[in-house]
Amino acid sequence: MTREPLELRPVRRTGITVAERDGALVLTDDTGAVQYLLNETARAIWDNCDGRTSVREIVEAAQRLFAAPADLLQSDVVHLVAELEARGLIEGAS
Amino acid sequence: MNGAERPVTPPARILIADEEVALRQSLAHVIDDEPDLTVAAQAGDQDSVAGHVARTAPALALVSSRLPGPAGAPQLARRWPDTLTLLLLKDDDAWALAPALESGAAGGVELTTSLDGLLANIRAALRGETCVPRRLLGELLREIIQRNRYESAEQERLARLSPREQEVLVALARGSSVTDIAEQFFVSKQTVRSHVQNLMRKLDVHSRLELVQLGQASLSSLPGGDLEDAS
Repeated sequence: MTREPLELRPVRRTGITVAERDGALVLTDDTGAVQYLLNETARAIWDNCDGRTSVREIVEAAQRLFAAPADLLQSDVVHLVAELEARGLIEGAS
Repeated sequence: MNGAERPVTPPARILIADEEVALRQSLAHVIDDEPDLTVAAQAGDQDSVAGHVARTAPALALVSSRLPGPAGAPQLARRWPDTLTLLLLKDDDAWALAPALESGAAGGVELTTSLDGLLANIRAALRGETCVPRRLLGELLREIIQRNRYESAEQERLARLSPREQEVLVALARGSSVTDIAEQFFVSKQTVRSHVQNLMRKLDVHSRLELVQLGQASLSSLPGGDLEDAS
């Protein structure tokens, strides 16, 4: 059964290395095969994928921080979390 | 000049509130050199900031994160919503940004940024943009998540109170005594004491003082708690 995306509590997968490159954050998995580039906003979301914080909490906090339409923010955060999981960089997101 | 004169936009007036004289004066020189900005006033201590804001009505106040109390950015942003507040973040003061933003401040700028960066942030704030140092986004998001959790827990606790208990809590928070409350609600003092005991049990506090402090912190969340007049 698929859980409601907003109720998920994703956690950063162990073994991911994090490096700065030209102001962006590069995530690399333990095989070195998967690399993913995060901008500063995505990095803030990644930083809060701690297994305790739900996607809903991240979205609600982001809404207080960024002057962007709520539905757009929610869609962006949910999409980012799904993509990070699809690439094996976080878990607990499905 | 031939033809209609172009309207001239006056430079935006900036208040600089910082406890460090050299920094304040340097910023004033830099700002006054810009054609679209001018320094309305400088303030160096918490007592003079409010007076300068009231007297000069600046478009934007640059406020040190080290200025406490009524001169602090959250208080200024709430009291003078027509003046944009931009926090000057000192050292590890990133924590100060979340309450300032929630009070309506335009954002914050780190002093490790360049002068061009500082001016760009001032202009962005004047355009109505929120200014948050990118480096601090993750930390700030975490801070807001924790504040949201605290507020949710507080709402849950307050929701356990009956309407009468909420009224008693508001009265206590405003400094009313048991006798005052008994007279106000036309009940006996024993009834009020019973409400106080129930409040302490439901809110898990162990003294009257703690109850009053919690009530004061929760006033804005309680019915009638946001009224200025306690009558």
